[in-house]
Amino acid sequence: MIRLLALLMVLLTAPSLRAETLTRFSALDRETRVLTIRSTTDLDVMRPLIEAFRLANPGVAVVYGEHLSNELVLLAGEACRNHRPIADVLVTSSSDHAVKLVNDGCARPHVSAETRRTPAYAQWLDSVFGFTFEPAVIVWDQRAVPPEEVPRSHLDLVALLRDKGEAYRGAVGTYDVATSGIGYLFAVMDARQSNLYGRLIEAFGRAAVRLECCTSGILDAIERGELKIGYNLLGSYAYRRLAAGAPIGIALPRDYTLVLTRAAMLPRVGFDPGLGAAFLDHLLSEEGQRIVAERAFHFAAGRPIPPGVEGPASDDGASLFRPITIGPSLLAVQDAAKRRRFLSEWNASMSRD
Amino acid sequence: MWGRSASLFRRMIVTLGAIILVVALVLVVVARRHAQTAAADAYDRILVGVAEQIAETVGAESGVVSVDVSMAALETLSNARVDRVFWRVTDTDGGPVTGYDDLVLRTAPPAGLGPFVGDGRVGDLPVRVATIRRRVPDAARPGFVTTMVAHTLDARRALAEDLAGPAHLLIAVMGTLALAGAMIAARLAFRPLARIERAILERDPADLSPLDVAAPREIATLVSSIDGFMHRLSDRLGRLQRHVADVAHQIRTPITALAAQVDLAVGETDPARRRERLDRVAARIGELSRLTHQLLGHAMVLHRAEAVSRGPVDLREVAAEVVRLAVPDEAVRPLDLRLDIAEEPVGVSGDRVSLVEAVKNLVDNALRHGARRRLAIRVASEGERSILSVADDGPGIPADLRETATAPFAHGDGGGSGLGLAIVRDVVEAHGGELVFDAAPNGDFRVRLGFAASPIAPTEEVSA
Repeated sequence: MIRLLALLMVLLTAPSLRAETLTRFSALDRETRVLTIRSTTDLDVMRPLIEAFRLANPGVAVVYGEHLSNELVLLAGEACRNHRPIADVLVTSSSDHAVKLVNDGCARPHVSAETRRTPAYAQWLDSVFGFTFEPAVIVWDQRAVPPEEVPRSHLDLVALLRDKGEAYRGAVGTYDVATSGIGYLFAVMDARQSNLYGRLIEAFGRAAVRLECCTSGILDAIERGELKIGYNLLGSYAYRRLAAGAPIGIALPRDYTLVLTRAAMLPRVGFDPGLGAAFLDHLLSEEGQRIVAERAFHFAAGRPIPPGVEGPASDDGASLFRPITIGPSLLAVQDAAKRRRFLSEWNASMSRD
Repeated sequence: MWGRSASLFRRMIVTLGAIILVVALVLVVVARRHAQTAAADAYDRILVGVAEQIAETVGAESGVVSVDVSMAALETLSNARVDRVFWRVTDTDGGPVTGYDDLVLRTAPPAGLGPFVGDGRVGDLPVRVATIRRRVPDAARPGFVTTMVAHTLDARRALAEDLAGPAHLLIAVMGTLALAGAMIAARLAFRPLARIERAILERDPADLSPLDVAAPREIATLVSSIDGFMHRLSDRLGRLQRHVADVAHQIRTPITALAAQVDLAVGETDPARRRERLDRVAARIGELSRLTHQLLGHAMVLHRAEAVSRGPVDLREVAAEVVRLAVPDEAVRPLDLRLDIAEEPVGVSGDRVSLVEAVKNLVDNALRHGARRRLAIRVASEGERSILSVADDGPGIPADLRETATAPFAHGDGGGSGLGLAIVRDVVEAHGGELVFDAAPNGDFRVRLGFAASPIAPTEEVSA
């Protein structure tokens, strides 16, 4: 209880720690411990995982804070430098942020039977673990985009914006790379992956692309009919809308598909470190991974893509997937000079016209 | 370190074991050094490779230095499974371009373009750093752009452990094998000893012939010592047997004579003649008693020559004691006893009891067979010799008998057992001295005993 009070004090007194939303799940039984999670993931997506953890640990209350990814990495870095706890588990879609935190010595390594199950490409230094498989997809409004114009690859999208530039002017949405961590990571990976990248952002600039902070914002705008196409959206979020009856189409780009693995890590200092490790094991466990694949994120390595999503069958399409592997190479993404140059190129392209 | 009876085998194994252990420890240290060097070398190369990849992208756009830290460069490190990675690029004026500003080298790298590899730290974290300098012609200020790439040390330590592990195992196995080999070798080496032991145990107690055992060079001396010892034992045993036979023979003769005298005495009825017979019996018994004393004296002298350690003895005291012992005999008839004893101690190193026995026999002989009126005993130091001489005016020993007079049971002119001079000779020989028969200045027959002089301490404790 005292610990929770302390947490609340910290949350209320430090302006930089104010979360976008803070949700508290009370313990199912008499409360003995509190697990604090800070995440960039929408609560609705994480809810099945949290519920399963509460069922398995009825004495545990869960506090779930939602942040923008750039905010979260700043918070975590500051807390790490001040040796102050802000959470027991950090979950971020910007795996490059997590890798940078580990490299800065802000993570507590954890080794268990569950962490050993995690594939090598999705973990680094026993400190950061990827627990999802989330393709970056193209989403379109089925009401507004005629079937013959649906872009199913990066090249399609460049051609569409070139040929039908006027029709799609202001109707394409993607991340603002300056404010969205995941947007920046996807953009850097695109630039590395394909020589189409330069032409793509030039086309975005000409088409006065709409920049949003988050996947949900773009999906909302498409559902409202304000946008016709969303680029590089997280497949897991988009599929939830599709499954809920939204009039959208989803395609895995057929030339290459970036795949994000959402990162979870234990901060060096936590309120209840043992509980953080337990939740991490829960995410990586067989049961946790089943929930991730079936109820939370809908995509998983080695599983067929969900119905209604256009793309190669998982078997023969595997080679098109470009997983963003968790490792020291992601540190380059966060290099200050690189970020400066990358953003200035981006801004130059966006402000053209 | 060792008990006197500690097993040779154990000594050998413990010594060899200690040597093997020391060698193994040295090898472990060498192997670890080597593994550390190899691991450091491998990781330093990777680090330099990454630094070169990054340094290659250094350039300047309109005077501003730029660099591209590419994912590909860092992927090299990912493949090498390194731990935490840091880099720092500084401008020609030392200002920051990108990377970790708290990455510093422990010692400044030497001048030049590099690459240099050295130790550094990020905050408190020790790291290994590769440094490369590049001249950038388009930079605002002339100078070098410095690229540093670093990583923490866990991975190279782990590699060093991996490399050293098999070496450690190998050293442990070799050490164990070496010790086992040493144990087998030691067992084999000690086998001849067991053979000798068996040969001695199995032999008949009466068998004193040389051991017929093949022995390695190292213990051949031991075997020949045993053989030599047995040879001496055999000699001694032989002499002893002869001596016993002689003694039996010597005793048998007077006893036979005695028995005959007693028979005669028993058969004699005339009191006067019977009395005469009994006097002869008494005389025979006296002779027999004297013979027995001399046999005992001889046996004692022989025993003491081998068994008793020597000490300083003053010949003057020896002479005095003999005179004291001889006085009752001397009182029987008037005799001119002249003592010529030195003022200072006349020392020899020897056994006092044996010396007294020898001189006593000498004086006894002189009284019994020699001296008619005169007996002279002289003790003196003559240069390096200590001399004790006994002279009398008796007939002496004829010159042609002097050679054999000292053999046991050699009878001079009869009457004596012949053991007296043998005792004297044995004692003199045991003391390394000489026995001379000659004539005194006044023509008397003289026996001279000469020994190496040995100092006598005024008080006996001084030398202790």
